[in-house]
Amino acid sequence: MKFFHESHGCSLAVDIVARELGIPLEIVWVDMQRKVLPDGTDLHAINPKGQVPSLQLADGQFLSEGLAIMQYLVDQCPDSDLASTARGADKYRVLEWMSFIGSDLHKGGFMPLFKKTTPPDYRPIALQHIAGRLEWLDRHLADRDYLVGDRFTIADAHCYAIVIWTKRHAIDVTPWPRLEAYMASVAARPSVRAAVEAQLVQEALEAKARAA
Amino acid sequence: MKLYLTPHACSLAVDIVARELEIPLALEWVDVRAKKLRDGSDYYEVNPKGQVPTLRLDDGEFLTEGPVIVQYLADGRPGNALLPPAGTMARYRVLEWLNFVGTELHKGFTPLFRPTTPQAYREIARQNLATRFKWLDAVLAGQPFLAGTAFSVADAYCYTILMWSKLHDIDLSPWPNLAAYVARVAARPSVQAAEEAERQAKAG
Repeated sequence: MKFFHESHGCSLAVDIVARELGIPLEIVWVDMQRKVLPDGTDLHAINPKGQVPSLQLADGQFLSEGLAIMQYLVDQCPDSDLASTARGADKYRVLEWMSFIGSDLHKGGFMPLFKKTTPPDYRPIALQHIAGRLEWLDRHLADRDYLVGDRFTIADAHCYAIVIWTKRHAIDVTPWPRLEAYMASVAARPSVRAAVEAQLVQEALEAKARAA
Repeated sequence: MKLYLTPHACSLAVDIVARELEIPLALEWVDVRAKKLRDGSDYYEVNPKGQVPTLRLDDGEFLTEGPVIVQYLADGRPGNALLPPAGTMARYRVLEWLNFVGTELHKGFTPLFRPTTPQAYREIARQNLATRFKWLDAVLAGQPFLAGTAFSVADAYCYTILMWSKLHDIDLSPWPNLAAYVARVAARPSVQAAEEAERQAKAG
């Protein structure tokens, strides 16, 4: 399956999940500033919303929205560790966290920081929203290693892929030590290391191309 | 089960879905600004995030996040027309729409509700919404509902968010397919009953 990915996008979560499940994906890196694929095709041709991630399924259909894609991937591996929580009794808890991360933290929190058009006086407000959400995560992680249950789930992949943006925006996470420890523990997973490395390599290539 | 909700909030979507599924819910109205229930008790005890909707399940646990509550309710009525079974492509399409509505539309409106949002960012938020409305209008040119021919949980959510355009004086007439869609959903008995419940709660 082809996976339309971005060098610092939330699509990282999908790549982590695919690697956890051992599902090989053919990565297609999208230039999100120009919204074009490497062969020059307009991104809107494969996702009319002009966003990543998008997954091209074996039958040629495209599926967008990270949350839907992650559930699709887990459903392909019903006997996996990831599926045991995401499809078991705690499945609505997994979805509950993913909804919070996708709406409150990603869109309501970080999104304005990425937009060049965001006026400077809105940035402190966005940072305040982000801090409130990181605080909530920190409280939840007081007595647990993962967001739901006792093992890594798609909610953790999603959470990591968004909270990692604190580095990009120089947000100090030391006020939330349990979140900081959680991030370090997730970062040590082989799937996460490989997915993060793939993004870093691509980002370096893009920087080199811009400089040339 | 008991639903904690607030008039004009996204919790309307859950009430619409429950009525479509004929699942009886006790309604508990929340003053979401003061974070109080009508008896004066603290809403943070129900939902530490202070948001609506929250569903109190029969075992006493609380479930939050509207797009998740509607999935929980629909999955409790197998064979319903609002949410296809897990593992089917039709299900992922509805999930795709639910996520789009929750992130792009719902969170797109959020800055307009906050008194602290600077004017310059309000304009940007309105432009972002206009882009989403254009996309919805194009989709709805060829089908009556978001995921095709059947009304789904995503439509209940989308309608609920689109109603906020009235609160912010956003005219939907530049997007005629979208305006027709809103009218189509508004005509459903479930929607009329849920909106009537909100009117009565505000009056009471």
